[in-house]
Amino acid sequence: MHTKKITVTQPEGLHARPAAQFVQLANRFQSTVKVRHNGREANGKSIMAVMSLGASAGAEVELDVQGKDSEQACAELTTFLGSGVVR
Amino acid sequence: MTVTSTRLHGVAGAPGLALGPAYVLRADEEPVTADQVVASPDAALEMQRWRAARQQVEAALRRLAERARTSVGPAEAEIFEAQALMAADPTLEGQLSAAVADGGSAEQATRAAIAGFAAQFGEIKDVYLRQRADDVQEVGRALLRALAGRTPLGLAQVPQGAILCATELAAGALVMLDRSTLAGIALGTGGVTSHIAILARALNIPAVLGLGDFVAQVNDGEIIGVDGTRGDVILDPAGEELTGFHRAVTAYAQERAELESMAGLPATTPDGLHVDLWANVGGLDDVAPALAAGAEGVGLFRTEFLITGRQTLPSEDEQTDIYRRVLEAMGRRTVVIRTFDIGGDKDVPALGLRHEANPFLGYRAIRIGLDHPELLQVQLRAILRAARGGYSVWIMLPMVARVEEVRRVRAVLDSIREPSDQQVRLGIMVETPAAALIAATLAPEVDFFSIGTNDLTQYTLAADRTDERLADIYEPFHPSVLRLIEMTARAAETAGIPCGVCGEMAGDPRATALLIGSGVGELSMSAGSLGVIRREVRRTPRPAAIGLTQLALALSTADEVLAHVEAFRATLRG
Repeated sequence: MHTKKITVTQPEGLHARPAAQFVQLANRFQSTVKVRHNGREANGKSIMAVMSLGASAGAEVELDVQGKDSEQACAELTTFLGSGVVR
Repeated sequence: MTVTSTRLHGVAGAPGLALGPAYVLRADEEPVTADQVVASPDAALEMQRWRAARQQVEAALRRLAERARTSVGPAEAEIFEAQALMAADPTLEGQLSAAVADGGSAEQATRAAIAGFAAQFGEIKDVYLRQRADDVQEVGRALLRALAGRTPLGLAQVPQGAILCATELAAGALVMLDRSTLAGIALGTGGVTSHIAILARALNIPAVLGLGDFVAQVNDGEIIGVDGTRGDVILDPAGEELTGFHRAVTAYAQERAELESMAGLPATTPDGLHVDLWANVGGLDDVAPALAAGAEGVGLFRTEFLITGRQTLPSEDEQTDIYRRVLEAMGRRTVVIRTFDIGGDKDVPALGLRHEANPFLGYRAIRIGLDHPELLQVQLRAILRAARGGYSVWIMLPMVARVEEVRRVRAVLDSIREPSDQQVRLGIMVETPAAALIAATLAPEVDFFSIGTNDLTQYTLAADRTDERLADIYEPFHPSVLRLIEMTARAAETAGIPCGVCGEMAGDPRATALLIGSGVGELSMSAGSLGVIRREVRRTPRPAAIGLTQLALALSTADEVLAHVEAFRATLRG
């Protein structure tokens, strides 16, 4: 299991386009992905749930990744959120 | 007089003129609104129906995204990719299966779940994310159509050259149509910033939206005219009305073809002077049309939409986010961000401004900003943050009348900026006669000037531009205004800083020669004017423009100026 606190530097935060990309990335892994922000938790493989977190740029989010490929999943998702690289 | 036609007025959704037979998308082609009552739904069967419908919707949206990518653009394709993900969403499926297990039909469960998500999105403070509630609704409608056994995107074959008339239309339906098929769109719902409006503009399909309950008045196949520039629709025109509209459509198509053929050409005078043509934008949605029209930058990014009518002030994060999106969308071209131009006719409930007898001469723009650090400093910080990473950002202060105002803002800016923020420039709008008269004093203190001709005209002639009784006094071609413009541009030239114009005059082809002749180097306007001004610049030699300007400055009246301008332009047109 991997838990990690990250500050979102994606310039658009976790909004429609980056949220869609985040969810697509999360779905490539077998592990379960949970995203926590402001005391709420969302399934990282659900665009509806991730978008309703309303996490904007600079927001603190916590990733909770569990499963066989959690190490790589956590690393890639962290890079995506924290690097500001959209693609 | 016999009235044979009906005229309707709606929202100007996408510019252009079109005339053709109406193709009416009636409500009975839309999904059922009443829930299908199932005596005692079989949960397993309902879930099976739902999964089939969902698969159909997801597949249709993916095809749509592919199609949008090739026929419109990647940004539009992303709308549908996100919608496909929403249809396939596991949280949605979880809610569905719970509701169906409780005895609901697939339709009831879909409706309830979609309403829940839409409400949740609608509460988010971020304006862009809030709009995604529309996407959720659109996905919901597609699911309901599929459950009812209809094509998910809800559009049948539209005949060639038709005007599509409907109460509402899914954005996806528009992309699926061959763009050569549809001549125009008239819709009962929708606003300027709706997906439909954005797509129609991107696809160059004239559209009038927000027509209300008009579909009942339209007969399938009857001729209908759409003026998407003005927001007018004419039903069943006949006689002179019909031939007149037809002529206008032809003339518009010719003009458009000519301007389009020039969109890739540089805005350079015959003697080789390049004039920067920039766009005025009021948010992210204006960027794509500006780029399509060949804008080389944004000369005026109005930020008031972030703040007017709100009870709370926008946070630094929210602002950074929105500025960055515009900067990214402009692909590193220069963007001039104007700090909040509030007060006057733009109220901000969050500041509790008191009513003024004379608001345009009152507490507004930079005057408010200097008194409210929680407003100005937060905005400046947000702009600096958004600009990091090598974006070319110029900060523009509205309503400057005195040099102290510039110095105070520069002090604030210097106190908050980091060494890496040095590339961000600070300039002013020259829109008070005072600023124009002391342009030579202001120029060494700023990095650029941009002349706001609307306010400059109203203040110089002391004529409220919103009062139609003063329309003949409010005249930007009055020699008094022209002299202030020329003084400002000359002071900028002496100090070696750029001088642009971002008011209405920049987009008025009658003013182009006078502005070039005054020494103005950038013209910033709404995207729709870029084509006309590009053509005007390309036929205006600078030496002749200087001659015209010198003559105009010495004339007595605006009418005389305009007469000389028209004679001048007639010789250019040959």
